[in-house]
Amino acid sequence: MKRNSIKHLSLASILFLALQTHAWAHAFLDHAEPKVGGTVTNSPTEIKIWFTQNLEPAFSTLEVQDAQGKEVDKKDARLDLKNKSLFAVSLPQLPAGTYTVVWHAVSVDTHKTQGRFEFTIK
Amino acid sequence: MTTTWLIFARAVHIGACLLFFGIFAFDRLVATTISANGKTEISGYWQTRIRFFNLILLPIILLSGFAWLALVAMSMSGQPLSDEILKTVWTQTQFGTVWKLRLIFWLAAAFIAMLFHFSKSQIAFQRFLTWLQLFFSGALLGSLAWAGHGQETSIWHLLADVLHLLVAGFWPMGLLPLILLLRKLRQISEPPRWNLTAALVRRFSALSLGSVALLAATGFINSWFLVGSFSNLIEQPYGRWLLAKIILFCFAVAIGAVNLLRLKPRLEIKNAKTQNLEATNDQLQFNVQAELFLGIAVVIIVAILGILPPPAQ
Repeated sequence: MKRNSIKHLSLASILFLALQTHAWAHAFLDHAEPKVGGTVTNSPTEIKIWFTQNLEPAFSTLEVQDAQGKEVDKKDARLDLKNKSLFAVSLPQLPAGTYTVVWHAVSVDTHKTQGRFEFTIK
Repeated sequence: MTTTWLIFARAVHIGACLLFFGIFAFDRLVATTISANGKTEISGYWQTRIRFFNLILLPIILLSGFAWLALVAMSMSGQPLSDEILKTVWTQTQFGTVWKLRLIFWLAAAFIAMLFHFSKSQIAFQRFLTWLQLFFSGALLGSLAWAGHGQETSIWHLLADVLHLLVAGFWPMGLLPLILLLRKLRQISEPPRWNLTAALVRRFSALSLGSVALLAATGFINSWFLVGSFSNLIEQPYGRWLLAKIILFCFAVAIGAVNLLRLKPRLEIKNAKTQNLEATNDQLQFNVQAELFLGIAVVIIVAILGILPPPAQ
């Protein structure tokens, strides 16, 4: 009995080395359309960003700025109904130039992340 | 500053929920050994303790839960707290939905606590109420997994999260009721007190062993989803806090091993001198207190880990 107990305890202790706790995730940019840093030949109709977690639309924002920092999107940032990790905003016809996408994301587990990237229209 | 308070609110809330469930899990799984002999001094003492914990823990859970909600609302919006922000979080976010559900569990637990308080003489009814309270305290504790990201990755991660929380409620949080009963058994004059002490420790040790194994298994599943690699344990802040947690747990398990392999057998010796049994009980109380202290430190680390991004992402 005693030997068995030692064996069980040793096993449990070794397994404990792999012990982890439950934690909360953050939403990070997974990929985007147009691509991060990419170049497109025609003005896209919308910007789409796929995040690593589902987002809370009430507190997440997405906007596109021109080289002067002026917002040029249609201010209709929304989550995809079927995929809550896909955030998109519509764009008008844009002239050639470099644009900056600025996003603030709040994941469903309440954590905030933010970031920006550029894309170019030739 | 908000982050510090958020860690504090989380630590208090998680700790109180763990202990609340731990009390009733201990009552149904371990303390049955002391109530088996009918109404005795020790069983009366334990019933008083249950009423006390109902009275103390339920308000703490409610207040710390509200503080957590308010701080999360400030954090999510990036603005000072206002009715509008709170309402948006409460009605339009997943966190708000989970908190609404948890409020229902809390109300059910509070109602049962009230019934428990006013039914002192009805032992069978009280036993039924403690089963119900075990369910609702488990729901309060397990539903914390939905406030995290369990459902974000896979159903296995979510289940592992829930199980991890529930098992942690029994061990190490069940150590507090164990200390209280060991201390009381040391003081009372009823003749079977050493038999009761041995039976209590025997039952708790057996269940603790299973709990440690389950904690390790569910923790391993969580690691699989969140940490990603061994190097992340050293290189990332999340990993370093996790390592600290693992070390503390290893110490707690080592103390538990001493209790199981050295002290428990001493309590089982027939015709042992009272003086020796008392010394063993004292040593056991000291060790269990040390284990519990380590458990509390782990809960604080869990609260910190909650605000750090897991390295696997």
